[in-house]
Order: sequence, then C-alpha cells, then structure tokens
Amino acid sequence: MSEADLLLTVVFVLIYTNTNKLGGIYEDVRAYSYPFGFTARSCTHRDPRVIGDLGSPGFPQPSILDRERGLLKGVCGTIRGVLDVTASEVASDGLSIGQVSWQGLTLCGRQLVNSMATVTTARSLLKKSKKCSTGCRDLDSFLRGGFPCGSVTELVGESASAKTQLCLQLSLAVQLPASEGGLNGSSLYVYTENYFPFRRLQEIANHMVATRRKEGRPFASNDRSLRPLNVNTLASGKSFCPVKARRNLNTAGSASMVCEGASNPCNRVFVQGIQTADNLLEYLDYLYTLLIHPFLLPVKVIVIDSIAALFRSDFDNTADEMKVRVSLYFQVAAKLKKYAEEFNLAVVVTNQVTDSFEPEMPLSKSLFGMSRTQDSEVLVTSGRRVAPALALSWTHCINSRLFLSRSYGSGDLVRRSMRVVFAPHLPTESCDFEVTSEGVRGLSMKLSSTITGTPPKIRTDPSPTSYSDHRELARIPVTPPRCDLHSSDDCPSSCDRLFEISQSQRVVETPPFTPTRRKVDVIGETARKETITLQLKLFR
Amino acid sequence: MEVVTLPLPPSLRSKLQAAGYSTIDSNVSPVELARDVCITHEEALGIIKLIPTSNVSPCGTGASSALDFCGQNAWDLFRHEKAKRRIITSCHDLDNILGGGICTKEVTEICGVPGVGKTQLGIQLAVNVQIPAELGGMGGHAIYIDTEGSFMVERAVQMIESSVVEIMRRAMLDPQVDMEALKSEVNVDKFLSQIYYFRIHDVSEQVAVINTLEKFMIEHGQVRLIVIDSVTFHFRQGFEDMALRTRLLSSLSLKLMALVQKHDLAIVLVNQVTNKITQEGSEVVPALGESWSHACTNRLILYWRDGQRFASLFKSPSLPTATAAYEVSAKGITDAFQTYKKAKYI
Repeated sequence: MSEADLLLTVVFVLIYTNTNKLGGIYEDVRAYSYPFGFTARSCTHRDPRVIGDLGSPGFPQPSILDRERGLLKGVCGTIRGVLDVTASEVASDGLSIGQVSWQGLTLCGRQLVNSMATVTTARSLLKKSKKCSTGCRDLDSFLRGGFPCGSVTELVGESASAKTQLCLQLSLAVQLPASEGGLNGSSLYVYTENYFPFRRLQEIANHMVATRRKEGRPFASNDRSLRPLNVNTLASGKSFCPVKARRNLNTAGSASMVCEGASNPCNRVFVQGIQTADNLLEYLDYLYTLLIHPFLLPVKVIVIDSIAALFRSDFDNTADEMKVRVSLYFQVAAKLKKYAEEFNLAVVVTNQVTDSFEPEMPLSKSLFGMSRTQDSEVLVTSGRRVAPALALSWTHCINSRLFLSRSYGSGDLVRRSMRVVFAPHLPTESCDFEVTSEGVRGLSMKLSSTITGTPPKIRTDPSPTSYSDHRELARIPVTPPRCDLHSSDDCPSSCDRLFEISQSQRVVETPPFTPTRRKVDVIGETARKETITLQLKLFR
Repeated sequence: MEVVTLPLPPSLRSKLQAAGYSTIDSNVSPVELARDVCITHEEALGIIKLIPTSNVSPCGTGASSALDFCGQNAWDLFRHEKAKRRIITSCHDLDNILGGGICTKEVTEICGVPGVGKTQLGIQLAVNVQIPAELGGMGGHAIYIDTEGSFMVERAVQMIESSVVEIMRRAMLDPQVDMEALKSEVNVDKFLSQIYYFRIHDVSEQVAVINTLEKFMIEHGQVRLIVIDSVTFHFRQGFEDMALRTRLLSSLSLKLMALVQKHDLAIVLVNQVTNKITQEGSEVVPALGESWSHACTNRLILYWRDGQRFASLFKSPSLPTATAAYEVSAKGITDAFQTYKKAKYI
C-alpha cells in the first residue's frame, strides 16, 4: 500500500472511530470529497460504504482518480505539513484531530494538488472565460459579450424595471449554441417572491422559437440530451438517483400552456421557490448533486430573483442580528461563487432598492470624508435618489453590478436604461433598452453617463407591442389550454391533464403586490410646467 | 557552536549547561551526549541536527534562520534600501506618494469600498512587476491569489496590451536596449504566462495556499509580487469563535511577513471595508478589526470624493501621509483627468 493510501486510510479510521462528530463531518464529505474520486454515498451515521469503495462499478471517471492518487504521492509530505499545522493550531479548541485533519485534507487537498502539480497561469484562464448572451445583440455588445461565467452579477432596480424580464430572457438564451453566444446549457431559476411568471417565459420562448424557425435554425442543438440518464450507470446511492432528482425538480415547461413536448425551451428552465436564506443554503447544498450529474443539459446559469426578499423580513435591526445577517450574505455569496467557478456558470442575482436621503450634516468621523453613500455617483430612478438594498456588506459579495432605471420622458413615455455601476471588465457606461413582447431589446443609440438627459428616439411603429409596466403583461390574452393527450374537441372535462394545467394557471393568475406609484417630479422644463399648472389648478 | 545560541527549549539547554557543555561540535556522538546529559537518544539526535555542519556566513542576505545572530549594520541596510527597485502603479501621483511605487520586503494593504479600483490596482501591479529590468522595472513574475473571483482575464489582457505598447515606446527612445531580445520577452502571451493564478474557495484553502507559498517560491524563484485579492472575504463568513479567527489571521500575517523578509518579494493585500457602529453613528473602517492593522507595513486607502477616486497613504514607516487622485481607464490605472486639465491651463 502506498504512502498516500496509508495516510488516507488512517485519517478515515480516525473519523470512523470518532462517531460523535460524524454528523457534521459527513456534510463536508458529501460536498467536498468529489475531487478525490470517492462519491459520497447516502450519508448515514455508520455507513461503511464511505470508506474506500474505489473499485466498485458506478464510479465515474476512474482516470481522474489515478491522476489524483499520483499527484497525492508527490505532495504527501506537504499535506502532512498542513495537517500538522492545522491540527496543532486548533487542537486546544476541543475539535477532534480526526475532524480537523479531514477538513484540512479535503478542503486543502485540491488546492495543494493544483498548486504543486499543475500551475495555473493567467494564460490558461483565457480558454475558460466565457460569457452568456442576454438574448439581445445590442445588450450583448454593451456588456462585451454578456454576463461573465465564473462570477456573480447583480441587477439592481426598483420594481417593474425589467429585472425579471432580463432574467427570463437570459435563462432561455443560455440554451443557444456557443456560436450564437449561448452556453448550450440549462438554467436554474430561484424565485423568492412567491411568483414565477410562467406565461411570460412561454411568450418569450415562443417568439424565440418562431424567429429561429423562420431563419431555419433549430433552437436546441442536440435533442438527444433530453432523454433521462440511465439509472444503472450511476452510483446506486439513493440521494443520487436521477429519477428522484427529477421528481424534486420543477421545470417551467410543466406548467406551460402550449406543450410542444421535448423541444419546448421552457423544459430546460428549472424553477424553485425559496423563502428564507437558510433554505437557500440548504438548497444550494442539495444542488451540488444536480450540478455534478446534470439531468438534461448541464446547468450553466443560476438566477436568483430578488435576493433582497430573502433577507429583508427575517432580521431585526439590532447589532447582533446584523452580524448574523452579514455572515449569511458572505456564506451565500461564497457558495454561489464556488459553484460559478467550479462548473463555469454565470450567476445572476436581482436586488431591490431603497430610498436614500441627502445627509443633512456631514458625519463627524468618516474615513477621510467619505460620503455616506460611498458610491461613485448617485443612482436615480423615477426621479428619486435610491440606493441598493442590503447595503455595504452585500456589495462586497458580488463581482459586478448593473443598475436598471426608469425615468419619465416627455409625455408618458418610459425611458429605461441600464448602467454599469461597477464591474472589473466594463467601463461605466449606460445603455437604453425597451421591453417588448419579444423580450428585452437594447436600443442601439447609446448615451454615456447621463441618466436624466434628453430621451432617445422611441420607435413609433406599433409592432412589437411595448410593455411599459408589468401590470400590462397580466392582460396578455389567454389562449385556451390544450392538453396533449386528447385533441381539444374530445377532451373530457374530467381530463387530468387539463385539470393540472388549469390548476397551474390559477397559481399564475394571482397578481403580484405592487405599491401604488405616484407621479414624481422629473427634472426638466416640461415637468416643471406640469407641476406649475397642477398647482394653479388646485388653487383655483 | 555555542549552546546558548541553539534554539533549544529551556529545559534541555539548562541540562546541557548543568552537564558542563558550553559549546558543542557537530561530530559528537548522540549516544555519548545522551549518557552525559541524561536525556533520551531522540532528544540528543534532535540537538545534533540543530548544529550547523558547514561554515555558513552568519551575515547572510537577510536570512531569518535562528542561527543568524550576527545581524547586519545599518549602513548595509541603507545601501540595500537605496538599491531597491519599486513596482510602479502607472499613475505618477500615486507613485510619488508611495515613494516611487510598491517596494519589496514590505507588506502593503489596499482597502476601499467596492468599485473604487482595488482589483484594478492589483492587476496593474501584477502587470507592472514584469517590466524588464533594463527599463527600470523588476522583471519578475507575479502570483495572483483570487478569493472572490474578481480577476477577469480580458481586463488583464487589456492592461498588458497597453503596457506592452508603452514599454516598446520607451525602449525605442533608449539606445542601449536590445530591441530584438526585448520583443521576444515583452508580449501579451509571455506576460500572461508569468502571472500565476490561484483560486480559493474556503478559509482552509487560503491557509493551505499561504503555507505552501514557501515551497512554491523555491521552485519559482523569479516571483517578485504576490497579490492576495480580498484577504477578508472568507473570514467574514460567520466564525462563531472570534478568538480562532484572530489566531488564524495573526498566524497568516506572521507567515506573510516571514515570507517577505526571506525572499525579495512584495506582498499586496486587498482588504474590504465595513461599517463600525460608534456613538456618533456608523463609521466606515477597514475590515478584520484593529488587530489586523498591525499585519501590514503600509496601508493605502482608496475612496471616492465628488466623483473622483483618491488614494491616501495612511500608514507607512518612512513616508508622510499624503493623498493622490487617480483614474481607472481602459489602459488601466492612470493619472487623474483633472491634473491633465490643470497642466494645460498653466
């Protein structure tokens, strides 16, 4: 038995004998033991299959295991050095040596193996860095390709500023092949506000499929991947069974009205509703199995719609609660970034805004006179100053931030613009866009760094219809549901499929909560005139 | 070898001295030593291992081994420091307040709000450390340790392209430079392959990488800069035991200081800021607390004021506190636009 195997067996035995602490360790084993080629089985307290089940069938990728073992032999001494350090440092805290060693081994092992054997240089990152198209060419060119993979992008805006629309479009655009800017993958959509716009997603998907059919290009590049994986070829552990995974996952296509079967792009958008931050952390742990053994296409985009909603309700405003909240921000962000980097996917997060006020007195002791907002400039939407919710600490957790704003131009026309607040790879520019029945479309005329300027030329041709508010989306005409078991004429009223569809429609029909919006002052001559006339009217 | 200079635990040293040993030769046999001093065989072997066998010159070049008791005189140190090269930041004002740039054998910390340019400065330094020595740079490689995923390769490519153009332009003005050799060394491919990139997902990985940096430096001796982007990200994830966090951080800082003294390196740490609740309200302070303030030699704070980025040297052993404006453009870190305007009107 080689030196490395002996060491690993010793460590395993240490853990196995330390049965009190096994529950906590197995969480880590499940999540982090993959690089060493051991798949974690269903982790019960005394599961003997965890230890060294190297030769059994159902282990994927035996070549990686050999490579890891070979590299381990070379760095065994270094690992021992790390183990000694970590064990001695924290032994006084009452943690068992087995637990610390295992943590040190698994969590550091991969990094050590990488750092010693295959040195990554910036040049080798060039091939890996990809971007996910947003679905519109103008927006893609504004974002230099789209949303970057391997990092977390945040969309900030007030309600009805098209954040969700852009996320829906993104989760469909990711299914495009790589030659068109997509990533040939599926997407995961986590919604936190108890409402997923199924109908709108289907509408955008229908438009996409129709335009591509007209141009003669199929939507999905390989439909062979739509068949479910064979259960027998994978590990027989219960928690990894893909059939079970499918039962726990909802796809957006299951509640759609126009069921086209396997070629419906909505079938590759996995949706999940999450209510609290702890639920999100648990769900991200559970997701690891899906990301490793992808069900249809590999997941390439994770969208979390309104992460602010997860944190706004649960916590009071005391200092202790704030600390817990801040640590949760970092835990969630660390997990998302880890998945983003490991599976090379793009994570897009949506955030809300809160009103921010001009400070009346400068703070007496701020660091070198930093203003309270600490921002490069003031963000304005609908004529009022706003700041992103989940203040400074969350801003450290994201990699780039895009601000979506709306302003009222002349008349009642809504002018929407997207602005880069900060991003490592983008200059601070802004771009206008509009929301149509086809989705979010960038307007090719770009204005630089003015939000309240002259409004751009808005297209006056009637089609496609432009939605100024998501309340208008609720008035989309509803086509009668069609079930795919019977033709529409023969479909009996007791048809199960019809019942399912109508049930899901009932869920979709509930309108979201929207605060009443008041017409606010917009800086500009016309607005001032309006307010003056209004005041005159009141005084008469 | 004098017994008092050996790094022994006090009990062993007192036993040796009680047995009459004031000097030990490396040829002594462990059996005899164990019998004379009444210690075990293993302890005797340990003592003998500590005795240096060759005549190592005690005044080595800044070596930090325990046997280096001779030390250097201040004149040598002064000469070393004058001859030190610095890593420029491509912004003249910023270089001026730093005394020429980031200098080696020091740990510099950069903190600021998100979006002010900390990562940009880190990438710019990783590019500028590779400026060849005949043009005044360090000519070394860089290690970029990324904890947050904020390193964008295309941004690095952009910065490298503009700095390659600048280097070639300067080289053409200098008649002594060999243009052919320079062209083969100064190109985008070469510069990209000289930035070593580590991606870290956890606290343990961060500790592990810093522990293994020593071994990495032995294999890749040309590294002159280590940038740790956001040393704080993983330490803010809810350590229940703050004492453990402080211990880990202080051990990290000690290892970094030791690394910087032993090799001819500069280390740049990027830190975040946090809100501290005081009596007057909340104050924006660098993260990781007061004890981390002692970990760095220099501290540079980046902030916004009136839409302009400023950098302020807050802590330095030899330079006065000063503020400079800078700008982040497509080429990287550049001088602030306002100073250009001022120069025109004069």
